Amino acid sequence: MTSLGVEDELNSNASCRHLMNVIMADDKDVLRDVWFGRIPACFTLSPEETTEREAEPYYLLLPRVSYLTLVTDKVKKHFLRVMKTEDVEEMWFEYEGTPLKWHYPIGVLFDLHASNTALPWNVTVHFKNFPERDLLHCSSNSVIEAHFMSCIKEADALKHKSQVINDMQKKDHKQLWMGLQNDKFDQFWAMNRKLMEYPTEEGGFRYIPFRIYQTTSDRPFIQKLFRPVSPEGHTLTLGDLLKELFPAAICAEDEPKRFQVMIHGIEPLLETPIQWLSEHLSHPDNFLHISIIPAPSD
Amino acid sequence: MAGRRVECLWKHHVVEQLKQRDRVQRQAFEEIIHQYNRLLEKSDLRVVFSEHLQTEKYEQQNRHDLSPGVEGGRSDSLQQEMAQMRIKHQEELTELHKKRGELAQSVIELNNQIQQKDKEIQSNEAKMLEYQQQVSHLEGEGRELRNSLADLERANQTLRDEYDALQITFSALEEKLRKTTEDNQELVTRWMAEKAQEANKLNAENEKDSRSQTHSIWMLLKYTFFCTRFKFIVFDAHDGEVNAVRFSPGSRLLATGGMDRRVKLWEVVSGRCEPKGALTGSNAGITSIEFDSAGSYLLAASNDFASRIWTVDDLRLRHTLTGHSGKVLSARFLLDNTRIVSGSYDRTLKLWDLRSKVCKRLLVVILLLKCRCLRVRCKTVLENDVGFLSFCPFVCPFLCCKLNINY
Repeated sequence: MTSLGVEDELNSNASCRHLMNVIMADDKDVLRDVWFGRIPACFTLSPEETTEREAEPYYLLLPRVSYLTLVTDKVKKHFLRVMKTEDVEEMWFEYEGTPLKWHYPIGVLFDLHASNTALPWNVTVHFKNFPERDLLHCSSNSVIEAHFMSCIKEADALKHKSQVINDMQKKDHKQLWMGLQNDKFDQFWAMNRKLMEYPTEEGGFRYIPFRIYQTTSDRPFIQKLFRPVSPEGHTLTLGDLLKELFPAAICAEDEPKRFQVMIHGIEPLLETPIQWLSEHLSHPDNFLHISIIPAPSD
Repeated sequence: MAGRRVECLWKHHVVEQLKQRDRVQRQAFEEIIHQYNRLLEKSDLRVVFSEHLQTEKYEQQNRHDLSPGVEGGRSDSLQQEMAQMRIKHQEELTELHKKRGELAQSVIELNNQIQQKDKEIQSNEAKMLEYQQQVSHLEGEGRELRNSLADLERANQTLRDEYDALQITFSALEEKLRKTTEDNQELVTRWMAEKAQEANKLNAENEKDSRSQTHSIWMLLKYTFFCTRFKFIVFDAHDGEVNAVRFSPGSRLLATGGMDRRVKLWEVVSGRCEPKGALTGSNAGITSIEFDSAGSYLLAASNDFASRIWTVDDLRLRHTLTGHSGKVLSARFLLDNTRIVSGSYDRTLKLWDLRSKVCKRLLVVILLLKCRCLRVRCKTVLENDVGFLSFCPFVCPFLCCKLNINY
C-alpha cells in the first residue's frame, strides 16, 4: 500500500466520488451476479430404476440460490416419460453416493461436494429407496416455502432481534417467496433491502447470520453468535470470523493452503468485511453460507 | 483514502471472481444446454410420431398379410395406401396446427380478460378509497354540526336564563313604579290641599283688605265730592255697608248696592239725591254694579253666587246668571253689551252670552297674586275682547273691584 502525498490527496477527491459511484455500481453488480448465478448440471437416471426405454440425461442450468426440489420439475417430467407410473415414488438426488439435501441451497451443495470437479455437475436421479435418515421429505412447494421463510426469520432474529421481519406484513413475506420462486430479482430485493438495513450508530447488524459447512464433519454446520463490529469499533473481516471459529482455514504465508473458503463459488479475500459479505453475498434466505473444502492438490 | 483503496481491493476481487465464475460455469454451458433441450423436445415428438406411424404401419401390414395373393398389385396398393396415409397424416397435422392456433387465441383472450379484471379491481379500489374519504369527511361534518347544535342550545339556555332574570327585575321595577306613583299621587293631593289652604288664607286676607279699601274709597268719595265743588250730600243709603256705587251713562241716575241685598237708584236733583227705586231679587249682599253703555240695563254681582240684570226703567229683574260656586265679586258688560264677564270667589271668571243665556267660558284661576302689581295688565286684558280668554291667567276679587274703579 503506497502512502499518498498531498497532491495525490487533492486529485483523489474527485476520483473519490467517482470511486464511490463505481463502488455503488459494484455493489449492485455483486447482488445481481449472486442472484443470477447458475450451475450446469447433468441429471442421469440411476441405473437401478426400471425404465421402459433408455432414458437420456437431462441437462439443466440450476440457479445457485434456489433449492433442488423447486427447480427440478422438468427433470421429473423428463424421466417420468420413460418410467412406469407404479414405480414412481418421491424423487431424490444423489452425487457420488451422497444424497443431496434439498433444504440446502443448490450453490452450497455444489461448492461443498463438486466445486473442483469437471463441469457439468453429474447428479443422479432416484425414484425409489428414499433415504429416510439422510433426507427430508418434500411433498410440495409449501414445504420449501416454510423452510425458506423460517431461515429468513432466523436470520433476522440474529440481525435485528426480529424487529424488521415482524414489522413486515404477510404480503411482504409472500413477496419474498414469490420473488425466489419465479426468479424475480427486483421483486425480491424490493423487500429484502429492508432486511439489510441497520441503524447507522450500530455500524452493522447485531449478529451476522452465517453457517460454515464442511463435508468431513459429523456436525451439519457451524453457527455461532458473531458481531460484525468489535467492542473497540473496528469492522471485523472474514479472516476474524475464521480465526475465531475455524482457525485451521487460516494459514501463514509460507504454508501451502489446506482449505478453500468458498462462498457462492468464489473465494473472497480474508480482508473482506464480514458486514459487507452478509449484506451482499448472503443467499436469499439471508444466511451467509460458507463452504470449507480441502484445497485441490494439483 | 487508504481505506478506500483497500476496500477497492477486496471488492474488486469479489467482482472479478464472480465474473470469472459465471464465465466458467454458466456462459460456457448455457447455449449448449439450451440447444440440447430443444433437440430433446424434437426427438420426443419424433418418437411419438414414429410410434404412431409404426402402429399404423403394422396394422396395414397385417391387413395385407391376410391377402397374400396378388404380388404385383401389392406394391401398387401399398403405394396407394402409403399415399393415403400421408394425406391422412397431413390432414391431422393441419388440424393440430389449427387447434394450436385456437388455443393460442384463447390464451390471448384470457390474458385480456385478466387484464380487464385487474383494471376493474383497481378502479373499484379507487372508488372505495374515495367513498371512505367521503364517509370520513361526512362524519367530520356531522360531528361539526352536532357541536354547533350543542353550542346553540347552550346559547339558547343562557338567553332564557337572562330573560327570566330580566323578567324578575322588570316586575320588581314595576312594583317600585307603582309605589312611586302612589307616593306621587299622595304628595300631589297633599300639595293641592296645602295650596287650597294658602288660597283660603289669601282670600281671607284679600277680603279684609277689600273691606278696608271700600271703606277708604267711600271716604275718598266724600272728599272728592268736596273737592269738585259739588254740593255733596251725605245720606244714609243702605241699612248695611255700601259696596258699590255707579252713575248711569247719562249721569242722571246713581245706583248703589250694599249688604242689605238691594240696589237703590237715586236721582241727583238740585243738590239732593231723591230715591228713585230699589232693585230687589238678590239673596245676599251686592258686591258690584254696572250700567250698560246705553244705561238701560243694570248688572249687579251678588254674594249669593249669582249676577243679576234689571231693566232700569221698570226696575224689573231680567236675567239671573247663576253658575258660580262662590261669591260673585264683580261683573261687567263687555263692550258690545251682549256679553258679561263675572269674577267670583271660586277663582273663576265666567263669560256669559246674553243672547244665548249660557256661560260661554269658564276660566279657572290657578294663581292668586297680590292685585297691585297686576293692575295694568288686567286693564289691557279687559279692553281686548278677543284676546281676553286666552290671556287671562288670574283673578282676585279685590283686583276686579279695583279694575272697575279705574276703568
